[in-house]
Amino acid sequence: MIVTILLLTMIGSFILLDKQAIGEFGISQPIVACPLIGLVFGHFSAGLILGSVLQLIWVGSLPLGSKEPLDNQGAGVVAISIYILATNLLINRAYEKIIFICLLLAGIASLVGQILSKTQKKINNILFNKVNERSSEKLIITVHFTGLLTSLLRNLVLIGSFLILFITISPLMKFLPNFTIGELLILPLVIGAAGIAHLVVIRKHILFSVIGVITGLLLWVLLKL
Amino acid sequence: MGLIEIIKGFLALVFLQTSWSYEGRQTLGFLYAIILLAKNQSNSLNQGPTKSQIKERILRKISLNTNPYCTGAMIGIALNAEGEIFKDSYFSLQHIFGSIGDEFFWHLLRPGLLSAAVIFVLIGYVQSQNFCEIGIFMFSPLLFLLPYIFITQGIRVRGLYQGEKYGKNAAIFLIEGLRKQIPKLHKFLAFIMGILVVLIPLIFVYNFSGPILQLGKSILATTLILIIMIISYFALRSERTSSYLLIVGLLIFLIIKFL
Repeated sequence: MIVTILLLTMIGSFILLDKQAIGEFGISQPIVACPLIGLVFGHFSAGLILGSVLQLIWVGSLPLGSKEPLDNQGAGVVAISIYILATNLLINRAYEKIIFICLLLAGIASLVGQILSKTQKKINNILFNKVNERSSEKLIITVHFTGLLTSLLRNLVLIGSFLILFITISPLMKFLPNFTIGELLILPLVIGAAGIAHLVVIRKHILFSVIGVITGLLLWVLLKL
Repeated sequence: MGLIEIIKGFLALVFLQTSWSYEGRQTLGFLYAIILLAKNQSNSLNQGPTKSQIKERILRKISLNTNPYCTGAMIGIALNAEGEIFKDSYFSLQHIFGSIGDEFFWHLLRPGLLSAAVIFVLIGYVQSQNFCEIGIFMFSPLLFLLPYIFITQGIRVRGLYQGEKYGKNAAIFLIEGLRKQIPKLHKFLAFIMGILVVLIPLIFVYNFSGPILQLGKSILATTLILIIMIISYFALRSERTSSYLLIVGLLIFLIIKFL
């Protein structure tokens, strides 16, 4: 179990570096990160469900300017890590109960991740203040890449603490009622759809929204025929 | 700019936000890129500004910050032989790139591609009713990832190359190019939203009442989902609400289940 926790924390932390420290290629987005981590541990499909469902919840939380958005990437990685740990740890694998806990802890992780990101950037401030016009190139490069370390530490703390939290509360899972996957996934998907609706200037693009609605209906009919 | 310089430039851009801080923002990333890319020789008409000149200039106008995908053009222009970085207007470019870049990448491109990928996963689910057997739709994450990497990293590298070659004109090309695409992306996002808004309730209704023949249950499910959607829409005006909605919603759901 300890090896699984360490592996999950390390893999998740490195993937989360894509959030800001390295590249911002989009690998840390839940719809990519969750199936990717799931694939490593043999839970690709579960990763894809969790990633897709969690993806849109925070779609309206944007990193505009210096604003720190809610940590949707951290939430995704925490959710799939908990799922993998739970399936390894629990003898009675009630997958629906595990998904419920994953979604709940992902919601909390998005808030904790935001606070940790702010703290990390405050630490980076201290490092930045060591640089001035007379600083050598070596010092600038060293200070710059220390940022990688602060990001990695932030990610380790986030994922590690939630995995430990899960282990602590996992005995309580047997008291949860039974759910179905369909019931569980609808709330996050509805929040996601509302989030997307927020990004669209509906009055200005009503025609395209209506075309989308018709396309959705046609898709449904075609798939159900 | 040769191939090796472009690769070095790409590496510099990849690590540009590594040390992002509230005071310095992207400044150290810019300095690192300049250290990696600028020439050491003394300045001449054809060689562009030297490292130390750019470093001094950046640190004097401390706190650079713009959209990360537009930083290639900013660095390219700083390296330009005409010495754009010594003109005051150079530093105002970051605000223009910031607003246009944020609108294009964060507000439109990323949500649009992510939603499209989610829709493909949902289509797979509707088709099979089993997430483990969604076949070809398991490649949905690539539907987001590949175009996103291609567009964002392409703009980064192209901006660097053109900025170094054409100076401020490259910024004008890039800004105009992004601005032209914004209305199209707005329409795309509206279209995607339309699909999501209808597909999600249908999935729920189908799960809740089985075939949509059970009229009473279907009406109840549709009404419930519309209420949750409207509440979410109005509640999402505040930044942190999406997390609170998820947590509180799940807890209410749990209480209902217990009852």
